[in-house]
Amino acid sequence: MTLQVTEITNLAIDLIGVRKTYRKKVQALRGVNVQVGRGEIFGLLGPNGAGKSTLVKIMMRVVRADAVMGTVLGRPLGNKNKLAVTGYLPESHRFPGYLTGMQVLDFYAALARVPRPVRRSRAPGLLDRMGLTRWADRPTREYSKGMLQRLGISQALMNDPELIVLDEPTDGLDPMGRRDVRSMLLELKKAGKTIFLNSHLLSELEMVCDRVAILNEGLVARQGTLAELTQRTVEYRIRTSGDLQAIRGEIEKRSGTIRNGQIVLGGRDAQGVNELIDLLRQNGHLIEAVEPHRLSLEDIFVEALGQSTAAPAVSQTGGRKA
Amino acid sequence: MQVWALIVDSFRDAIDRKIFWIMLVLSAATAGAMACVSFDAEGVNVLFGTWHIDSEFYAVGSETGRSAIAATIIKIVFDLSIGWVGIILALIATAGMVPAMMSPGAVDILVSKPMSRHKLFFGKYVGAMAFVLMQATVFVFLTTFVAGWRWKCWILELLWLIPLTVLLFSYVYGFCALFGVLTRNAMASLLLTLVAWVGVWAPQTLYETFVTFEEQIDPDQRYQRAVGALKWVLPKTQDIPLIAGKLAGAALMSDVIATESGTVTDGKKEPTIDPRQAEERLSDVNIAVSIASSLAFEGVLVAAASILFRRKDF
Repeated sequence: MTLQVTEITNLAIDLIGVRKTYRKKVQALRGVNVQVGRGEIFGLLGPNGAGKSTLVKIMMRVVRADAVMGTVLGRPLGNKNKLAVTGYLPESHRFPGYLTGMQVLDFYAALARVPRPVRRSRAPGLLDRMGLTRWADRPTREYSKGMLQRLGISQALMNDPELIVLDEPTDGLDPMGRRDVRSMLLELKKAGKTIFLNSHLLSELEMVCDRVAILNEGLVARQGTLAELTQRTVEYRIRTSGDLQAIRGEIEKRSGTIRNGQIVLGGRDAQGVNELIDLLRQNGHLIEAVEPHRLSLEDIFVEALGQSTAAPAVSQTGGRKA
Repeated sequence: MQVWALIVDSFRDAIDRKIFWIMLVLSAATAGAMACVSFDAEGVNVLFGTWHIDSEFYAVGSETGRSAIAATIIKIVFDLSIGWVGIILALIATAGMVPAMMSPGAVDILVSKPMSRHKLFFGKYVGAMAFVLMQATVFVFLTTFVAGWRWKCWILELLWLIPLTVLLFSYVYGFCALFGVLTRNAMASLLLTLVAWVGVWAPQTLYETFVTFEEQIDPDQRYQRAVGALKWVLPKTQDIPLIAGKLAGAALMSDVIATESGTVTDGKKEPTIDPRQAEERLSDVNIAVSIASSLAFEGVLVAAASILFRRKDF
């Protein structure tokens, strides 16, 4: 019982069986389960139309789920006290053009029940952090897309949230801006905040996320830490001189494959690598390099969608190991 | 805190719109035009005495003159500036508020805040009222001040025109908010509101016609009763000037109505409507019933709009 309570309190987001069908026709979510631990950065991936935005919108009450169980910050979905400590940056957000940057922060923070003195003291710091101090008193209609994005992130942080939900946070930002956002996310994580990221930029997610979920056709295709997801897809690549075709059969017996003139051995099987090296030496091959290769998140993503470009042997090996 | 933030936001939205300033300029221009006219014991001075029009009716100092001036101001307020012209301008300024709130990207942040959608919608609705309240306050204060300063007729009861103008606007804006939620389009909601306004106006006018020409066109009062029932249910926009007349002490407004609608015969204006009949009509208005039944209808519209807004996915 104690364990269960601990598990519940350690989860910032614990959603079970999220379902949503639009206009009784389009099944956006077909029973999604998502668990996000407190203090971690969680990334949600998926192709267009996978249901990512719908899931985020359900979490933030923008869209109503047909069915959902579970909690956000330990309370049922939509609990106002918990929404007051949740920051949200929607994709393609739009601020009223007549408001200045400072007024935007003040207005949305007031709606989030942040007391006026706190708003007054917090806003300048956030604007400064985002490099918008000079623009604080200019109407947002004069802002560039990148500036609006940075202002949007500031807005999401005005209530000093426990949970921060960011939908495409680096959209419209230049490389420097993206780097700033990444370092800010890591700072927030250090401060104990939970961050839920929805992004199509896999490389960026890979740099900051502790855990990810891959959503496809309304279902979670994969979910776990990056280490968990990449573990079974680690492969060794052995580069040699000489013709490998003569010993192809022997290589394949040892679960290896020949790809682009290299031997590829899936998994973390060091013993298997050594056996292959012995085989190669016995047959007079000069070994030029042995490289452990970890697949990128993009590779995992593509594989999860059933469109993997990786060698079949990798999947087979992964399956064998599993 | 949250509703106040929404009202302040609406205020900022309003002053950002050109139409807000156009309305203020119109108010100032109307007050300026009024200031060009003054009244004395013998009649009316126009353009600071350039022309003088003899009139016992507007003679300063008499009770008749005071009522006539009050009635004139009411007519200016309701018929010219804050009447249909003003309401249309206010609708143009505010028709976009609900659709803008519901636009993609904007609504996401708003509905994710810790407040109910009803409260959010209500806050925006009240914000639109605040816009009209500001305009009405400026205009009525200006006209009341000019009437006191130039016309020597201080009628503080005219300040009743401020809440009454907001009330009149709210009767119409209920439709606008509902159409705003349904269409999410400012222009469509504005046009539909104007159509609805005509729909509200028609039964009131028809009813008056059936009452006035009862014997000629509706001797058994069949149509009168049907239209009367419809009129009773719908917002009674045409009662507002009459209520204003009552509250502002323009007891003889009926005379103004009668005289202004009269024809000139041998240099003397003869009223075509019996002043007594007009006065009866003025006193017939039951303020509480008129306002309560109109607000009830408005409440139904706003509740429907709010429920639709709450149920929508964005």
